[in-house]
This record gives sequence, C-alpha cells and structure tokens, in this order.
Amino acid sequence: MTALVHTDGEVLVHAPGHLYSPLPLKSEPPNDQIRPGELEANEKQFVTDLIRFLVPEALTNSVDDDPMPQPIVVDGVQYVLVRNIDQFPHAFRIRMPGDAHWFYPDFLLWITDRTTTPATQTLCLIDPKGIWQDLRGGWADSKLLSLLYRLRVIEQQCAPDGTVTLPSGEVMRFRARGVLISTTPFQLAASSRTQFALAAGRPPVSRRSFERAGIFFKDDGYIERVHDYLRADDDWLLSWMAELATRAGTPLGRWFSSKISAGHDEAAWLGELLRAVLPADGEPQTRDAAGERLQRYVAT
Amino acid sequence: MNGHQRLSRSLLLRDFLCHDLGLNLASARERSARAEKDSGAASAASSGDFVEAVIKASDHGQQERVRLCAERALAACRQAGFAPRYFQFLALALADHYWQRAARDRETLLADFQRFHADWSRDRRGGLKVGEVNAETLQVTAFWLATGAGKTHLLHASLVLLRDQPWGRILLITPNETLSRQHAERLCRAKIAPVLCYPDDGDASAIADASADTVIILDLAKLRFEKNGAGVTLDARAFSGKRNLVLVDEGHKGQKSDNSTWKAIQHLLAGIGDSQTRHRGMLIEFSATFGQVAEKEESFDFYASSVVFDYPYDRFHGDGYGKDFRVANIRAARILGDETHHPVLAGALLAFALQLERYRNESNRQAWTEQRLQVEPPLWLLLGASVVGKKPGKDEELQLSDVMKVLQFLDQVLAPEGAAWLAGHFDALGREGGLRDEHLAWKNGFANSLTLAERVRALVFGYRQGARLVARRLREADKELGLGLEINGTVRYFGLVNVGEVAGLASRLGTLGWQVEEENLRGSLFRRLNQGDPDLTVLIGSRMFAEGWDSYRAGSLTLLQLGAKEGPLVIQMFGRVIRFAGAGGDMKRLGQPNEAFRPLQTAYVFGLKADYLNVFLEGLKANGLPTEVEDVEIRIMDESVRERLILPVVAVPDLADFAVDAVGAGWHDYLTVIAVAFDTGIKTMDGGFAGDQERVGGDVTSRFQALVPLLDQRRLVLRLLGFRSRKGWWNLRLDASGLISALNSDRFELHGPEALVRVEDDDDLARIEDIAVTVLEKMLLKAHSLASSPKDCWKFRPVRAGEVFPSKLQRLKVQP
Repeated sequence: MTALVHTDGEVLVHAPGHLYSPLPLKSEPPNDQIRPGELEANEKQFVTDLIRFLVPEALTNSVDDDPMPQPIVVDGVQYVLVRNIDQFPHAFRIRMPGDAHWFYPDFLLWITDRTTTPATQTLCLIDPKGIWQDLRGGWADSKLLSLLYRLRVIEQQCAPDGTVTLPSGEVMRFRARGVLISTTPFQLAASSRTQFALAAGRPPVSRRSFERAGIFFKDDGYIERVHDYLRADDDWLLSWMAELATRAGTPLGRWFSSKISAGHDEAAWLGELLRAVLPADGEPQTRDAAGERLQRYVAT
Repeated sequence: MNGHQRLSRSLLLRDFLCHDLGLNLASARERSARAEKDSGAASAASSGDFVEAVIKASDHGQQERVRLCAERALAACRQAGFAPRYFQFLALALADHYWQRAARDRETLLADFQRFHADWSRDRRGGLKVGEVNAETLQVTAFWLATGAGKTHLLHASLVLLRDQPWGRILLITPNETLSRQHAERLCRAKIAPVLCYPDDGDASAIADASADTVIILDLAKLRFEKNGAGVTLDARAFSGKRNLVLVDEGHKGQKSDNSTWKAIQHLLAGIGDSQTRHRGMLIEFSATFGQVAEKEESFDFYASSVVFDYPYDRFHGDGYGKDFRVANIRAARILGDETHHPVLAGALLAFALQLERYRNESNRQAWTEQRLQVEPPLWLLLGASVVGKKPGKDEELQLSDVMKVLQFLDQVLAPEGAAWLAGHFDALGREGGLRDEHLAWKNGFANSLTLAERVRALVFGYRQGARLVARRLREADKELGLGLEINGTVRYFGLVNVGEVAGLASRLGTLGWQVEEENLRGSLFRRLNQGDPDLTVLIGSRMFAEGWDSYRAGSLTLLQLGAKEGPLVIQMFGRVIRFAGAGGDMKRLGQPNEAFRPLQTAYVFGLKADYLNVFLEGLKANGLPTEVEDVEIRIMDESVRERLILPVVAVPDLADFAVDAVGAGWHDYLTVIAVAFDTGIKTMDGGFAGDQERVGGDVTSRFQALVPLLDQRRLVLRLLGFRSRKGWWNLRLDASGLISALNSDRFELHGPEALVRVEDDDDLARIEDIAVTVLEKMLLKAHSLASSPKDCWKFRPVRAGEVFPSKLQRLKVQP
C-alpha cells in the first residue's frame, strides 16, 4: 500500500493513526473514484502535517501491503484520528447555534493521556478548511460557536462531573476541543472581510486572538500551535463559555440565561460577547484583562 | 474510445478560453463547487463567493477580466430568474468572455484562437487532432450539459447576455411544441424579451411583424426549405439574409444523415459562412448528447471547437446530483411468447410499490424532513414505442399495442382475483427478474406473496374489495385517458394514459370488450399529476415525455418495445427519471442514504427488450458513467482501542417536546434579523476593512412591506401550511395574523433591485407573494430550530463498528 506522502495518482493510502485503512483520496476523473469520505487536498494536507508532527518517521517508513491500523502513541499519549463524513448516517454532528443546519466537522481526533489520574481523553473536532469563506457572521459564526460554545454543552451533558465511566468500568476525565483551520493566509484574512465582520467598532483582531478562539492559519508551525491548543487545560475563554453553558450554575450562566430566555437567539449574544472580550491588536492577552472587559460588557 | 470520450478529451474551445482568461479550470471547478456546497447556490451567487472562486483560480494579471465576465454571468442569471449551480455559472462566465471578445475584436480573437490551436495540436503527442479553426468557428457556441442539469436556465441566461447585440431576428428552436410552450412561459415570466411562440401566438405574418428583439420560439418540425401544404410549416429561407441569433435546444438533433437538411437549415438561419459579413449571425446549441453525435469526424471537429463548457452526466452524477439508478437488464431468454411482458411489469410494479411504501412511511418522512429533503410523490412512468417511431402509421400501431399490453396487465392485477394472479408472478420473481436487495428484503418481510400482492394493490392503486377498473375519456383533455377504480359508485383516479389520440385507443379497447366511459369533470389529470397529486401514481406515456418534461416525480421507469439504435433518445428518457429536488432544491441526493430512504432517491428502470437495454447501458457508459463498482475492504482498529473512544451522540427532541406558535402579533420578536437577498453581489478587489462590498440594489424592505396589504392572506396561509406539511411539523401553529405580523416586523431585511418590488400586473403580484413565502419560511425555519435545539440531548457511547465510519469503501471504475 502507498503511504500517505507517496500518493502520486494513488487514491487509496495508509495513514498512520487513522481508525481505518486504507483512507481514500479524491481524484479528478478519469481516475477511479473511491467513496465515501475521500479527502480533498486541504484535508490530506492536514492529515499529513499532523502525522509528520507526531511521528516524523512514520511517513518515510515503507508500509506493508495490508497494514493493521494502530493508534499513534507518543510519550504515553495515544492519538486516534477518524474522517467524519458529511451526512453519513452516524457521523458526528452539531446543530449550529443561530442556524437551522447541522455542522459535520471533517475530522475527529481522540487524544488519550494515560499519564494523568484518571486518564484524560480529549475529543477534538477539526475542520481543516474551516473558514474558507471567511467568517462572514463575525464572531457569531455558526461553525465557530458550535466549537466554542455548543461543545461545552456537550461536555456538560456527557460528563456532568467531568468524567465518564466506560463500559469497561474505566473512569476517564473527558474534555472536548475544536479548531477551524483557515486555508487563507493570515495576511489576507486579516485585511479583508473577516476583520470587517469581526471588528465593528473595535481595533483589528490579532492572530493571537484568532487562535484563542480556535481559528488557526495554515503557515509554518501551525500544527504545533493547534496541538498545544488541543492539549492546553487553562483556557479562560473556554472556561467562561462553560459557565455560560451551565445557564443556571454560575452568575455568568444566569446572566446569559436571562438574556436568552424566551428563546432569544443565543448566537447573537455570544457573538457580541466574544467581540467584547477577545483582545484586539495591542490589548493585553491575560485572563485578568479579558476578565475586566467581560465585566464591563456584562455590566452594560 | 467512443464518441463521448473522444470529445470530452478534445474540447479545444474550452481550453482556449481558459488559457485566454488565465483560468485554471480544475481549480475553478473545485472552488466554485466548494462555495456552492458550503453555502448553497443562491448564497454563493449573491454573496460573491462564486466570483471569488474563479478569481482565486485565475492568473494574477487576468483577475479583472475574470471578475468582469463572472459578474456579467451572475447578473444574467439573476435577470433570467435563477441562482446558478456552479457549473452553470462557469459555463456562462466562459461563454460571456467568448462573446464579448467576438463582438469587440473578432480578427484578433480568431488569430489568438488559431495560434492556440497550433500550440495545442503540437502538444498533443499522437493524440486526437481537431480540424481547422476559421471565421465560421466563431459563429457557433455549444453547451454540453447532462440531462437534468438545467439547460433551460442556461439558455435563458445566454439570451440575456446576447440580446443587446444588433440581431436581425432572435430564434429559439425546440424539439416540440410542448417545449416551445415551456420556454415561452418561462421567458415571459422572467421578462427577458418579448416572446412570440409559433404557432400559438400568431401566424407567419405575426412573425414578420414582430420587432427585432422578439424571441421567436418554434419547433424544428415547423421549418422546411420549402413552404409545403401542411399549414404551419415555414420556409426557412424567409429568415435568411439577416444577422440572426439562433438558439437551438437539443442541438444534437440534425447530425444524423437523414437529418442533415435540418442541420443545413440551422446554418442557413444563423448565416454560418454567409458570403456577406453582415449576414453572419450566431448559432448557440444546447444538448446532453453531443458526445454521441460526435462519433462522426465532421461533427467531432465541429463540437470540439464549439463546446464552450462540458458538464456531462458522469460529473453530474459524480457531484451527487440527481437520483442514483438501477437498471434491470432482463435476459433475452425470458422474453419469449406473448405474455413475456407480465414478469417485467410485475417486477417493475413491485419496485415502484416499495418506493410508495417508503414515501408514505411517517418516520421516514420525519427523517428526510429533518434533512431538509424535498421528496415528491413517486410516479411510475411507462414509456412505449412512440418515442422511437419513424413512420407515423406504424408508430401509432406499435404504441397502441404497448399501451394495450399495459392496460391488460392492469386489468388482470385489478380483477377481483387479481391479487392471487399477481402473487403468482411475485413468487417467481428474483434477482434475475431485476429485483434488488431492498425489494427482496421487503418481499421476504411478508408472510406470503398474496399478502404482498394485496399490499401492492392497495399502495399503488388504492384498491379495495369490490373496486372496478374504469377507463374514462376526459372532456377537456383530448389526449388523456383517465384510469381509476370505481368503489361504491365513486371513481378515484390512480393514473392516466397520455397518447396522441385517445379515440383510436378507445376503439381498440372497445373491441377487447372494455367500456371506455366519459368523464364530466373539468380539467386535465396530467396537470393534476404535474401539480403533485399523490393519488395519481401511474403515467403511461408517449413521445412528449422524452424531451423536456420537467418533473421530480418519476421514480420508476418501464420501457416497452424500444428499438436498438436510439442512444440520444434513451438518455433523454433517462433524464425524466433521474431528477431529484434534494435539500432545499439543490438537486443532490444523499451520499449515504439509509436503507429506508434509498429507494426514494433511486430510479428503477425496467425494460422489456434485452437488446435494447444493452444499448441503453452502453449509452450510459458512453456518457462517461463509471458502471463498475468494486467493494474495497477496510481494516479497522482493534476493538480494545475503539471501545475506549468517547463519542457524544445527539438525540433530537421529539416534535411533541416543543412547540412553535406563529400565531397573532409579535410572536417573532425574539428572532434575530434574517437577511433575504435577491440581488447580485459585486465586490471590488481593493481589500480594506469597510466598503469592500457593493450590491446591485439595496434595502427594499419597507417598499415590500407597503405591498403586504395586497397579498391574499388565505393563499399565504395555504402555502405556509404546505410548507409545514412538507416539513411534517405538526407542532408548528400558524395563522394569517401571525404571518402578516411577521411580514410587517423588523425581523427581516429584504435586499434587491427596485424592480423586485414594483407591481404592475398579476405576475408581479405573484412574485411579491413568492417573496413573502420565502421570508416567512426562513423565519419559521429559524424559529423551529431555536425552539428545538435547547432540547437536544447528548449522551456518549464508544465507537462501534459500522458507525461514524463506513464498514467498506467502494471503488467506481472509470472505463479506460
């Protein structure tokens, strides 16, 4: 079988760490087509970048004819990736806030860290061509809020106390993270409609703030920053989103709950809140500074 | 290599235009398809995403030119009243560039084209060569689009792009009167140009009197080189000697030797190669089957240098448009003796009954509604010999005998003991009779074939004990014979025969002891069927259905007595049955439908003659469709890993768990503002934060709201109730005051040109009603989603085999 990097014209490849093998790639006619779930160029690039980052040697090794898929394990941390197929009957999907449609992220990645007690499993939703069309909805973008906010609801419902008990009896801490990867370079995205939609009266948004919200730009070293984001535990933005998602459990949750009672559109409120708290160019990135902005916003 | 493959690899004009524009076609396809997939065709067209897609796919220095033709193409679609699919958009953008250059600097264009042709030929080592490019080449443009891919829309948008040039005459030539009327109706509605549909709107003198910008629509049978005595035929020479614009729907016609006169007529009308430059017009052809006619060398050269864009059936199908299909290739050995059509018809009937069963299944309906799919009530279409016939007398005879066979079959099925008779056929049916897994599974789910036969009779025909089959002539529709069941003195129609002449059929039926009765009811059953009456499930048809009939209903196609050499026509008939409305009208089928839904997005084609069906399948292959599917086994990570992966799964709330009230004033106050755009977006390339997007038109919300009192509230409620029932949302309440209040609210913004909200006649009023319905549907969709999403319930479970990921892959082999 052809390894992922050696794909000259080949439409079936082996990707280390992927839940099943082979993985199909998209081809232009007149070549054979494989379905379902073929990877287009950006998706293939992401999988390659991820594997190369985790196990640089995996892509240069030769591959057996019919390799058995195995997780990637690095320093006691296990990685399993799977292609999430749009509209597939049991694919993972989230109802997008403020929208009547479903969002099917392109990939699911499970990172299981057995060096902690109990073990920690992070379910990561990854969309490698996430803002191809720019963030037209500004911070109220439906995909973005699916990952920033709706995922918190999912965490709280699946693991009310932060842990889940597997059928085997094993207890694991459960977290969920999501990233959108922009195929447009930062320089372009930063200068056009995206900024226009996001800023609305505030100074332009820095790369750091995009990354804070889980939006990454495909350039040197992006995969490492994505990885750090997925693994990080002390994210103030996500912890506030979790408070909002409780609705009644915290003061912030109650404030939000009062705003969206009677079915008010949560997406619009969340978009405004993000605009207010995410640091603009030149503003301090600390939790405290953002906390002050949040307090000011809530007070008004 | 067959004609299709040869032609699709040799599209000289298309390659030239891409080269001339610095456009990477593969990238443009990919990007614009992606834009359409991400936000829908309407939004991709109005937001500027399509424009952006082609700009990103073009060379840096050429981007302004690309933008210009892309925007002109979109504006033309807007004026023609549709949001283009990505392939329609690309086709029009390339064509516009070609036409603009041809109008401005013909000589330079020709020189550039010839230079490109020389380079192109040199680069094709031993490949196919295309003949000379000359001044005549520039007079012809062809669009090669799969049947079902929206050719009519493309034709109308082309008219918009070309109408402002100084033409002597604008002629639109169609294959038949039905299609002429369809074009006329749509052109009138879109207000593209004055329309004269011949002979409905006037005689030859009306044509002579028509203004130069009038689009004269006529079918090809009306044109001859000589005025003959048939009454409505016209002498083609009367149109020559002017610079005419000639648009030909189904342009593949006339490439066969016996049709060469017709080709000559086209060339005469368009002044191809006319000795006088000022008489040289333009010929624009549209067809799905240029590939088949390009078998001949001469046609190959002609179309290689005139096809501006290709979107053949393989791409159409590959992009997920239209239904999937299953063709039953009944072996010749089974076709012996006079009764041989019974097993074929029984198989087709069973396959169709399963579609109806799935259509009427309530939980199935809920599932597809949730996925926003529109599914029309399935229809069994039976087409006979008349679609092929050459000699009218023999044709009529053959067609009648086919229709008779079907009617006799129905007579047997619907006789008091018909269930037992049908059960006998069902018993004998298996895979070799054309049944698929889904049919066998369904069949095996019944205690015995008799129960199945009874179920089929009830499903398809509404049969009840004591019912009697009746055939009735319709007073106001002389081409229709209504088929129904009389139960307790009341006739309920389940279908109709649509043939050229009912009288002949009625007398033939009479000799067989049938009593053909008269129906006093007004109107046409065909119209009712076309409007979606779900009780009408069977249509036994004739030639008119082969070309142009635009309906999503046909789900099963049974073909009777067809000749062996009718490739293009076969593809046309096939086109009737593979149309699919998709989600929100996007024409796309589901990539991975569940088994309950699959029959509703699959066309089942049964045929009587094996020789013919082989040609049919060959025709599909020739049309580039990968026909061989091979399973690819996959290996899956060990269960010990999988059972430790946490997968959250959502359970959506039951409709009983929430409700939406769109009743009375103010129900909508909590919604955020919804933007409804009917305009064309134009963007400048300067970048910058603000003001980088302009729109043609503006906010017309208040002008629209001023018209709300003109709306017929009762009709509005009915249409929204229709929407509610399509969605299956019984938990949504609405009333007239709620709808009117929403239309008068500030919860939506309507963008568009002024003309959108100008009311001068009934057509305009109909448009205002359409806008109102669009606005209200969007508001109700949002309200429903907002009410339902807080009740979503998430649980986790481990990753099981066959879930989340497929259990196997499929390789679609493309013919070498």
